[in-house]
Amino acid sequence: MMITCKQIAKKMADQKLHEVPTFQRWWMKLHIKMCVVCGSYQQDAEKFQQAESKFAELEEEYGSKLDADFKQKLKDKLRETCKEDNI
Amino acid sequence: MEQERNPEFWVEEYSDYLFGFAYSRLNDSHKAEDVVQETFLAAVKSLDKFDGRVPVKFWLRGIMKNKIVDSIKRDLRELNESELNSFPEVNTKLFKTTGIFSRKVEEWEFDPFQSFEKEEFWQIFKSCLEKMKDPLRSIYMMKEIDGIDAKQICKEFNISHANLWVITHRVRKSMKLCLNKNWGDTYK
Repeated sequence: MMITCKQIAKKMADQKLHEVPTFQRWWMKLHIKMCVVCGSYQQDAEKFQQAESKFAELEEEYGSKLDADFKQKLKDKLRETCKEDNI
Repeated sequence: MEQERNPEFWVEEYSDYLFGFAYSRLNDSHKAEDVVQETFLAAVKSLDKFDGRVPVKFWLRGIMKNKIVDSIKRDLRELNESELNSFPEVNTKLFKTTGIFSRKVEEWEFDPFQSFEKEEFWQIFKSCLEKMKDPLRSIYMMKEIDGIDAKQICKEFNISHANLWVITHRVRKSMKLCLNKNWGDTYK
């Protein structure tokens, strides 16, 4: 299977390499490892893809918290809306 | 299950999570508060559509992703939209033939995979993300962190796929400089 740099670039933009089905991923990895043109760039992109997926998983732990007064106002507003709409 | 349909329970249980999510994409606490409020109000109005097949937290987050897109689009109207479609990188011969923007890349001044295992690294990663320039940062997060389909992003923001690639490229490049500076020096 011959894959061009452009096809690799398109796949890397559409999907994270670690989420690509195994067989296809194997060919992509082979190209990235061997290619003197796009190899370094795509190896770098792969590291970012791993970081982005991990950050998405961990994000909740590092999130900012909502102000307590705002939370109370929000509850009041929702109560009012539910009353108006008979929910 | 009854609690899962109670909007006040949502505020108690999920508002911090949703606010954190919105804040990291909008970088503005007032806008993030507005988006959280709009999300809960929209969820109340469409409560009859909630069938419990996905946890309520993720149902709310799904609604909020659209509200975030709307908020970013409101901001973009104030900017010159064509700026997002005039990146010079897409006209290079290298990009046209290979789909990449440079053959050489900046070195990582630390071991990325080892660093991914360190809790402190993610604090730095988050603070670097916050320093990235809007609206590129928000669009990058939607594409690469939230996994929103490229077609949808291009349609919503009226940008070409090639220019979306440039956005990812530019943000990652700046992120690496920031990570090298703030993490690389202390952890090699």
